[in-house]
Amino acid sequence: MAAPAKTRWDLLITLTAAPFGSDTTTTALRLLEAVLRRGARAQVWACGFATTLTLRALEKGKPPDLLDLRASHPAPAALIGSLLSAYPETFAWQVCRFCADDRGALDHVDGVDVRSFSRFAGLLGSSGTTVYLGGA
Amino acid sequence: VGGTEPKAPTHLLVETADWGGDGKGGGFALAARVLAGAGHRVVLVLIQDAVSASTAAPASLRDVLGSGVTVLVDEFSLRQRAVAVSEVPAGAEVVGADRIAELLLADGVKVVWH
Repeated sequence: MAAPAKTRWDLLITLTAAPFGSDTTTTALRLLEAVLRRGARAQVWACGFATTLTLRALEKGKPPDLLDLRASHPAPAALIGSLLSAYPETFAWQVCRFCADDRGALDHVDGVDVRSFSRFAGLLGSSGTTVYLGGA
Repeated sequence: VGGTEPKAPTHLLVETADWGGDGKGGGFALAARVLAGAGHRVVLVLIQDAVSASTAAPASLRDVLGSGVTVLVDEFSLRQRAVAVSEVPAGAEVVGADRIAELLLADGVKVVWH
């Protein structure tokens, strides 16, 4: 019997948590950064309101920190875009077209793919470990 | 703090919800103890609001700590809530995102995230 084919991705994070509703987005980004630093391959499937995280319009429009006006904190869209640039071969961020359509969220930062939900089963099959974060 | 930690846990339970009071996070306590009692390797990670359990130290967490389950507490979540590492009960280990990432990527790990 032939050995099973090696999965293409080590980790799939299915992210449905609404941004800013809890710490979940921060947790996901922290873990992704740590996973990618280890040289692993990770992909994200963003569903529900998480589809708005990577909107191009939000990339540079973050309000100032009123407690520290000189501070500069990247918006999630900018942070995800920088991870996609830093790890082009080992990181993918994919947005559910159905959820994005529903929210008028179709213009995303470079590197983000908007894909049909019908691809989701394929993502599950190509990933070693799947983690579901959130609640739509 | 510390404890014997398996390198490749069979079950990685990640709790994000508040554990004490009216919180819903304590459900993993029973699951972790039952799995460990059945001979499985179990790591319980407390992250986000679940780090409240490390300071309140409810009886359910003390039971988990005494059942052979490895309990890890996320350092970033503690810092975000101004909780000192010294408040984490003996037997639990404070870790960063790198350690949790290592566990997520372990061969054959079964992750349950709540």
